Order: sequence, then C-alpha cells, then structure tokens
Amino acid sequence: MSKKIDSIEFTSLFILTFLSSSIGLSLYTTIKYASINSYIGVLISFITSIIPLLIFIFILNYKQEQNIKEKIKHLYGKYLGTIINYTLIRLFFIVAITILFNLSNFIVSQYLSDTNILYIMILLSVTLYFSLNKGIETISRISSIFTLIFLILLIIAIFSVKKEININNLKPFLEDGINDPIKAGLINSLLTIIPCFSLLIIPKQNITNNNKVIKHIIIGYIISSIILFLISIISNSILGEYLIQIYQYPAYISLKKASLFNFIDKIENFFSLAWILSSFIGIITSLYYIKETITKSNKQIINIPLIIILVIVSYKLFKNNTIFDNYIIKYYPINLLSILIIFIIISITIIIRKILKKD
Amino acid sequence: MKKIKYLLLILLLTGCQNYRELTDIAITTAISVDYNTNTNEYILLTQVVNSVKQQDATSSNEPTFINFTSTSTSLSEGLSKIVLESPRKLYTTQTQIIILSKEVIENKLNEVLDYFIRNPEIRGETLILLAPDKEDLKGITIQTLLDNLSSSNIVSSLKESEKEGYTTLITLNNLTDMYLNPYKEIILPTLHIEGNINVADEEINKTSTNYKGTVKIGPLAIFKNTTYLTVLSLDESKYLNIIRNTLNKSIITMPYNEGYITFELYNIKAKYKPDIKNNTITLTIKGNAKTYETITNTNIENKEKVRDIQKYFNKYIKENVLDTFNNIRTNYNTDIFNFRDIYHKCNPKYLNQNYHNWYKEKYPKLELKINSNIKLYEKGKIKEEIIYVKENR
Amino acid sequence: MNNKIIKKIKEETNNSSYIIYREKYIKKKRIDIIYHEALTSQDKLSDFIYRSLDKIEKIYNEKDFLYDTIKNNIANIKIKKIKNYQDIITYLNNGFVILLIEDDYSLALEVKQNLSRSIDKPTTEMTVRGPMDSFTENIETNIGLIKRRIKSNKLWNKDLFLGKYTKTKISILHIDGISSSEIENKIIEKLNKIKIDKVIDSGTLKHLIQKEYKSIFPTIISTERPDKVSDALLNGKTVIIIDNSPFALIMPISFNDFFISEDDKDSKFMNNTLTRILRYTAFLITVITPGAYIAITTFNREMLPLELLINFASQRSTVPFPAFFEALLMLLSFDILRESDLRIPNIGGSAISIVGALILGEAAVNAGIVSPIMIIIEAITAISALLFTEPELINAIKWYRLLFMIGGTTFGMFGVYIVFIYFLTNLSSINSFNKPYLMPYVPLSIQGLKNSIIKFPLVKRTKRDKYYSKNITRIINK
Repeated sequence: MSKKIDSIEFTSLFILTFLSSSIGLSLYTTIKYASINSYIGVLISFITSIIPLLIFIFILNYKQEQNIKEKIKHLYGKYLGTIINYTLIRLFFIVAITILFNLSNFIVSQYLSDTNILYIMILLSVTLYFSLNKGIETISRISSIFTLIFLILLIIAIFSVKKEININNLKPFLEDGINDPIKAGLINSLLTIIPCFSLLIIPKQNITNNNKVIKHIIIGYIISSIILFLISIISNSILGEYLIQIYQYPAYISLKKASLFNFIDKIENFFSLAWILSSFIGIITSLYYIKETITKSNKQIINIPLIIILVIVSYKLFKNNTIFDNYIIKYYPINLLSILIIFIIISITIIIRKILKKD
Repeated sequence: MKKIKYLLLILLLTGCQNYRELTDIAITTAISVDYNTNTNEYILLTQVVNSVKQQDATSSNEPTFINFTSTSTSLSEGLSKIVLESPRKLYTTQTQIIILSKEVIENKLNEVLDYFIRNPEIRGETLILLAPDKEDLKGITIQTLLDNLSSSNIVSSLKESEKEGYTTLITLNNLTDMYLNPYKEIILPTLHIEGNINVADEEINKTSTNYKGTVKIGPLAIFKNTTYLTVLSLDESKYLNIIRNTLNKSIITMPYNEGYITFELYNIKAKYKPDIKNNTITLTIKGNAKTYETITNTNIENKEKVRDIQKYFNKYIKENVLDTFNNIRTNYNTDIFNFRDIYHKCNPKYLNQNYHNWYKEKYPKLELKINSNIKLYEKGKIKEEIIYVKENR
Repeated sequence: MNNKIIKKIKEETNNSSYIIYREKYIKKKRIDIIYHEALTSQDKLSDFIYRSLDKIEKIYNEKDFLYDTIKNNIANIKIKKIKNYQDIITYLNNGFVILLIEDDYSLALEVKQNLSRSIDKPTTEMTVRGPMDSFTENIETNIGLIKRRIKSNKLWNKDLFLGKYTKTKISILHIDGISSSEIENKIIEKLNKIKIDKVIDSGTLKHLIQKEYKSIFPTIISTERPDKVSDALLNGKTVIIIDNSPFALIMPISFNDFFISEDDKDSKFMNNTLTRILRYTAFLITVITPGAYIAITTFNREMLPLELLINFASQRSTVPFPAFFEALLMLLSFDILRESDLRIPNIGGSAISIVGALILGEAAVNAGIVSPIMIIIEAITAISALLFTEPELINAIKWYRLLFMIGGTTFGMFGVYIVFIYFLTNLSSINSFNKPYLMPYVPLSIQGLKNSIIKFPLVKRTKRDKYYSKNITRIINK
C-alpha cells in the first residue's frame, strides 16, 4: 500500500494535535503563571512558536522520500541514529500518557464522579487500538471529519456565550508586569507545538498535492492559534480573576453559562465532545509515531502491547490529581524541551551537511 | 467483526457506578441552610419533587413536593443524612435556589461556599437568597397555585423583580467572586413570608383564592465584610441598582407642579470615569423614559414645557442618587458600590501606594459627580393630559 | 452418426419427455430435428423452420452439399455452427433447435420462447416524476432497456457463464473512455477461479465478488431501474446484469449514493439541498436517538429542563424495567412487525396491522409495560429508517443502533461519544473496490461535493468526479 494522504487531511492532523492540550494542560499552566493575563501569554506564544514551526517545515522538506527515522539514520549512522530514535520514542510516549490521563481526569471529575478512572482509560484505549489498527489513511480521514465537527461546535459555543463576556473582568491590564505572561507564553508554546513534531513520521512524498503542503500548514497554524487565543480570552473575561484560580477547568465552567435563543441551556455536554475528539487525535499521532519507528511493515501486532503498556503506566504513574498537577508544572515542560533540543540539533546537522555539500 | 466483540464485552462487564434510574432519584429543587451558633450545627431543609403523574396527583390530593430536614455538624453529612428519612437519594443537579440565613453568612460562609462550589452536581448558576429571619427559611415549604413548585414560584418572581428593577440576581459564582475579591462587598436579594405561616404549608393554602400565607421577594440586603447590616428600602434598592449598572427597567414617581408624573425608565446604562488622584468618580447615566401617568395640569404638547420636565427629571434623579449614596455611606460606611474595585481596575499601583485606609480616610471623602442624561421618549396612547384637557377647555 | 448422438442425449437426460426428436428426409437424406419443448416456441418452429425445410426440399439439387443449402436458405436469421458435442448440449438447453445433418455437420437455430413477464413498474423504488420501467428477468430485455438510453458504440460488454448447473449468463458493462476496465478485469479474474454450483440471483454474485466479512455496510448497490443504471454508467461506474434476476449491480459506490434518489433531477438546487439535509438528519436520528435518550435519562439528567424531567419521572414511575430493556423490547416488537409485513400475503394484511397498532399503542402503555415516551422515541426512530431504499443499509444500521444503546446505558453521553468515534472510524476505513467509502467528503473532491449534502445548479456541475473517471469534462452548452 502506498499510504497516501491528502494535504488537507495532513493539515487537520496538525490542527487537532496542536489543540489537543488546550483543555487541561496549556490553559492550566498559563493561568498558574499569569492568572488574569493568561491571554497575553497565549498571544506571546503565537510569536515564539514560529521558530519550532520553521524547524518543522525545514526538516519536512529535506529528503522528501524518507521519514524522520530514516533521516536520522542517514545523518548519524546506524548506532547513534538508533539511540536517538529510541530516545525520541520514550519522550513521545510520555506525551501520550500525559494527554490520556488529562482526558480521563476531565471526564471523571466533571461527569462520572463515581467511576474508577481505570475504566475510562480502558474504554479510551480500546477505541485507540481500533483506530490505530486501520492505518494512517483512516486516521487522517477521521481527523478531517473531527476538525470539521470541532470547528462547528466551537463556533456555536462562542456564539452562545457572547453576551456573558465582560471586558471589565480583564482589567487591570498587566498589573504585575510583563514577566509572568512571557514565562507563561514560552511554556504554552512548548506544550502546543511540540506534540505536532510526531507528524514528521509521514514522508512528504506520501502527501498528494505536494506543493501546497507548506501553505496549508501555515494556515492551519494560524487558525489553531486564533482558536486557542479566543478560548483563553473568553473564559477569562467571563469568570474574572478569582474564580479562574480556583476552578480546575475554567474553560468548561464558562461554557455552563451558554444559552441559545433564551431557552436552550445546560448544553455544555455537547461541547465537551470537541475536547474528547482533539485529545483523541493528539494521542493517536504520538502512538503512530512510536509504531512506525519500531516497525515499518504493515503488521499490526505491535499495537497490542503498546496500548497495554500505555494504560498501565498512565494509571500507576499518576496516583492522584495533585501529583499530576505538579508534574505538569515541573517535569512535563522539561520533557518537551528535550524533544525540541534534539530537533534543533538535527536541523543544524542538516545545515552543516548542506554547506559542506555532502548530500 | 470479531473486534466488535471485545468492545461489547468491555462495555458490558464494566458497570458504571453513576447509573441511576429515574425512579431511584429524588429531584431536589431548593436547599435552605441555617446555622445554630449555640450547638454548632447546620440545619438543612430540602424540597423534593413528588414524581407522580400530575393528573393522579391533583385527583388524589397528593402534594406535588415534599420537604425533608436534617441537622449535622458538616454540610455534606447533613445532605447525605436525608436518606435516613427519604426513600431515595438526593439528586441536586436541578437545584434552582439556595437560601442562606444570616448566621451562616456571618460565621460559616467559607465552608458553605467550599462545599457548594466543589460539588460537581451543583451548578454555578444556582441563585442565592438571604432569609433575614428564621421564619423566612421556611419559604420553600409554602404551597402555591400558579406554579406547582414553590421554588419555581420564587425563581420566576425573582426574575421578574429583577426586570422591574427592585433587586438583582446573585448566583453562586457571583457570590464566590464577591467573597474572594478584597475590593468588593456582598449584597444579596431577600425573601420574607407574610401571613399565617402555620397553615401556609397545607392544602388550604391552595383551595382559596386569597392566599393565607405567601412568600414575597424583598429588596437588597447589604453587608460589610460578611457582617450583616440591614435590608434597604425599595427606593434605595432601585437607586443602588442604577449606580451599579444593573438596572433594566424601573418606575419612578416625580412630584411636579402640585401633581406628579410617573416615568418608566428603560435601557439605562451607567458609565464611570474615575479620577484616582483627586478621589472623584464621575457617573454618567444615559437612557430613555416614557410616561404613563401625568397629573400635573400642564400642556405636554409644548416643546419648552417638555424640555423643562426633562431637565427637572434629570435633576431629580441626580439628587436622589446622591442622597442614597450619602445615606448609605454615613449610616453604614460600607462600599457596596464597588468603587474601590473601579479604582483598582484603572490604576492598581496608585491604589496600592496611597489608599491604605480605605474606610477611615479615603472612602468618606469620595466625591461622586453625577451627569444624568435621560431622554423622554413617548407618552402612551394619548397626546394630552386628561386633567389639562378638562380644566383648560 | 446421428443415431449415436441421439442415443447419448437420451442417456444423459434419462429419456426426458420434453425433448422431442423428429426425423425428416430431404430427397432421401436424413436430418434429425431435436428441440426442448418447454424452451422453444412451437409457432416459430412450425412456421419458419419446418416450412422452409419443405421449400428447401424443392430446390435441393442432389449433387450439392446439403449443409450449405440449408445454411443459405433456411428462414431463420440466427444460425450457429456446432463444432462438438458440448455445443449441442449448450444450445439445446438454451432454447435452440438442433438440426443434425449428415456427416457430423449440424446447425443450431434460435427459436426461443419468451418466458418472462412484461416490462412493469418498479416495486421497490418509486419515483414521482421519473420513468417507470424496470428490469425483468430476461437479460436481452434488460440490455435493450439500457441500450435505448445510451445509443453509443462505446458501451462495451463482456459475457461470462457461471455456475455448474445453472450456467447463468452475466454481462459486465462499462463505457470506454469514461471508465477504465480495471474493475472489470479484477472481477473476471476472481470469478474465473471459483467453481460454484449455482448462481441464481444477484445476491449470490454480490458475495462472490466482495468478501462478506470485510464490513457490514454494503459496498455494491442493487437496483431495478434502468435510468439509475445508465446514470451510473455515464459517471464512470461498472454495472453487472444477470440473467433471471431483475436487479442489476453497480460498483464502486460511496456512502453518498444512499442519499440520492431519482427524483432529485426534477427539483431545483435550493429545494433539493433542504431535502438532502433532511435525509442526512434522518440517518443520524435513526442511529443515535435511542442511545441518546437512554443516556440522558439515566446519567446526564441536567440536560433536560426541570418540567420535562418531572414529566419523564412521573411517566417512568409505573414501569418496572430499566430503560435499556424497555427500549430493547420496543425495538424487537417493531422489527418483528416489519418482518411479518414483508411475508404476509396481501389478503391477510389489514388484520395484522390492526394487531400491531394495538400492541404498540394504548394497550402496552395501559398494561404498564412501557412508558408513552418510549413509544414516541421508537416511532421516530423507525419512521426515520423508512427513508432509505437499500435494505442492506437498514440491516447494518441495526447493529449500530444496538451499540449506541449499550454505550448509553453503561457510560452515559461519554459512552455515546466513544461509540460515535468508533462508528466514524469504521465508515472511513471501508474501501469499495479501492475507492474510499466517504467519497466526496473526506478525500475532498469538490466536484463530488457539488452533488452531495448541498447541491449546485446543473450548469455549474460540469465535471465528473475525479475518483471515478479520468475523463473529467462533461460538455454542457449554455
């Protein structure tokens, strides 16, 4: 099978992986650092994420018929390349377990409060297993449908809370200076764009409409940044400075005030579907990266132990909510930073080789 | 196909503990909380819907709701003790109102708020009311005719009163915000019971056209840092709403020329312009008004007379707003207008450096300048005053 | 020589009384006439063949070759030469009359009898404003109905004979220049490897071509309308017509084809868009509604307004079962009623429908078995399912309806969302002859999108879908 996907589907994978950490991870950390000024942090992260995006495009364009595993082996030889590949597998595995636990925690704390979190994880992982078995073509098709559903739900949600927005809640602007939003912005840009690097596993040759891929990715990046900014600023302006700091998922709480046409209310349940879909795609791209790096053939037998290890590690590692919150603030950005450093080194190596005209 | 088997097996084997049938729940629509300072116990009163077919209910003389009470030292234990009396577990997602008493707010507000906000089953949009007397807590036990549930009655009445300008709606989120914000003070709507409370919760209250006992929504109650001060009067409530920019519509009677005119205000908006260095706030009121009663023996078709009336009306509003502000400030010394918050939002650094003693030094010297710019719009169905037509034929 | 052949035939058919053997002498040379009585028409035989044999007897010159004379002078237009014994059997069983002439030369002449019904209205797919002829069991009539509509030389066909005992003739049609013969070659390759006893109708052929367990959604459409078939041919699809079956098979198809009907050509694009959106909404309603209702009333009750919730609670207080079993019971009874509707003869129809209405109506509610709201939900579900004409689609939907209900009882709305993700994954992974199933939407093709959930006016739909055919331009003169 040639495993060809469309460039619009590739862009939709990018958008949903970017937004997969929007509900619990990125909004949580920006509010923790910059409370009411977190939307300024998101705005700063739009600018600082351009550098990883350029690295992404640069690596994608180099040697278009190989995926990232083969590129690393080509650049560094067999032994060093294998070590780097397996380090990247471990780092992306940590990304996958974080998003899985985040989503299960969201469901358990808001809806099914009497259920053990293990059941939710098992249910999610079975669906992940089915989707992973079908291959990249199916994954890209469902991600473009999911993007459409996500955008429609988001537009309806914004439309139905617009009369609760109170700009006075956002004042005073930058009371404690600009240092906190800058810190929040840097961490936010790590959280959102680094999981997208797992899409480098698809060689550019496998994408039809080759020449339009770059344009589509830049448009997708702009759209997802705008969405994240809108979510941040709307939930801040509805709730105000003090409520934002005590709620765990303030974006979800601000949706509880949604009311359409004055009689349909209490519909925040539908909008949580959007977050389920985006987290789903976020986990699947990381898992697909791991699977393709281990074996390139079409055998799907590697999926079963992968999913089982995912569930077991995620359940045992995060014993409760507080440990997970501390982990997000302290250890998770370090993990993502190391992924970024590895990719920066790879791109520098490519530049050096091009200068020395070895290729 | 064999993969669907695995999905089915998993779904069937794992039961979910949240599963409850409609026949196993007691739908709670109102909760009232009271605190006994002598015995350090909470007293809870909940209203539960009696889910029998409505035709059967009215024909078999069954009430449409039931009340349960319980006492305990902590809130969550109190709410779970209710199963000792009721045959079903409480289901609090559809709760519409929560009534708190004075003692709760003065002593235990942080605990009550902690429980209600943390509970995933209680929504942040639940309305909060204050019951100034102990008897008023029983307001949810009264049987009413127009709405079958007394809590729906209270909610509808509260929403209509808010539209007419007598009170404001305070939700659980708003109350938490007012409590946590160091620059804001708490205000709450109130309710009280009139009439014969002893028969108000019986069937006889529904079978006659004049109620023996009723629940009435009262004007706003003001606090200073969780200490209960007083309940304002209806007029003061109205002007307080104008200052806080939460008024939608209201009726104001103005004496004029040996008679009076009644205006109905609508689309009122108030804008602030704070000047923190001189400690003054300029308040601009804009809106429209229409008249329904004019008993002043003037010719209201004359352009200049109408302009006179408009000027006089704006002056009247300005005086009354200032009076209300000064009265509340001198009698109670509490900043329920959130002026300190306005200063904080425009220039927080200056506030932190210079305004240390807000209540002792700066608040008594605050100068409020009011510009009132309300336009008279329409006069109803007839053009002239009836008394003018009769006396000046 | 002729006697040997006759003896062999008699042995093989056990001296069947339907095969008639007749001798005739033309100037002392003997010819044998063999025919099958049930398959041939006696009139044609007597009028044309026998009478012309008499005429030939008059003009026959004894020196000439009898075979040539008969071949040139017989009054029947369709003559086939017979080369071996196998041909004799084939033509005898196909309604031909065999003339055994001297010295191993034989001829077969066609005098077939028309044993099928006349062209009638379609019974399963009705239109309000379209042509109303439908296929019959005779393959030549069917090909004729198609050829009347596509009067071009490029309509190519390939014939196969399948089945050891039935030897059914099938024709694979496609238009050269618009669609490639790739699908045709694949089908022929597959069918040549199979040895099967019988191919009686189109259903069996469907399952020979595509594996049954690959997906539960149908990947081949069967239809009995010739205008639908010609439309499909002109869009680049391949069609199979089978003898003795009034249903033709169209492949490859996409999910969108279930929502298009032949009436759509008659209405304007704006009106038609509304109808298409209605059909898609009905599809979602019929799959999701029972599961969503169960999820909302058992887990996520905060989504209902208070008065509605009190109403539901008071109605359900009289019912002893949990909501899942109630829904299952109603679905079961409705499906039994529907099955019985298909089997019952027309005479006994009215009494059964009265009984059905009584079961599902007041009596069940009054006896306390189901609540009235459940009957409304089931009625909405069942009526929405009647919008689709392809029975395989409805059968596939039943599985998913059950799965949504199970997801709703166990995990509430979250379970419904998970099953929804699984449903979409399954739909997107189906390939119908290597073309993606969710065709105009997901591998996005703008030309296909112009005739899907939204519709563009005719003058703007000037190109063909690039996934079906390489020849993209249609010609429409404005």
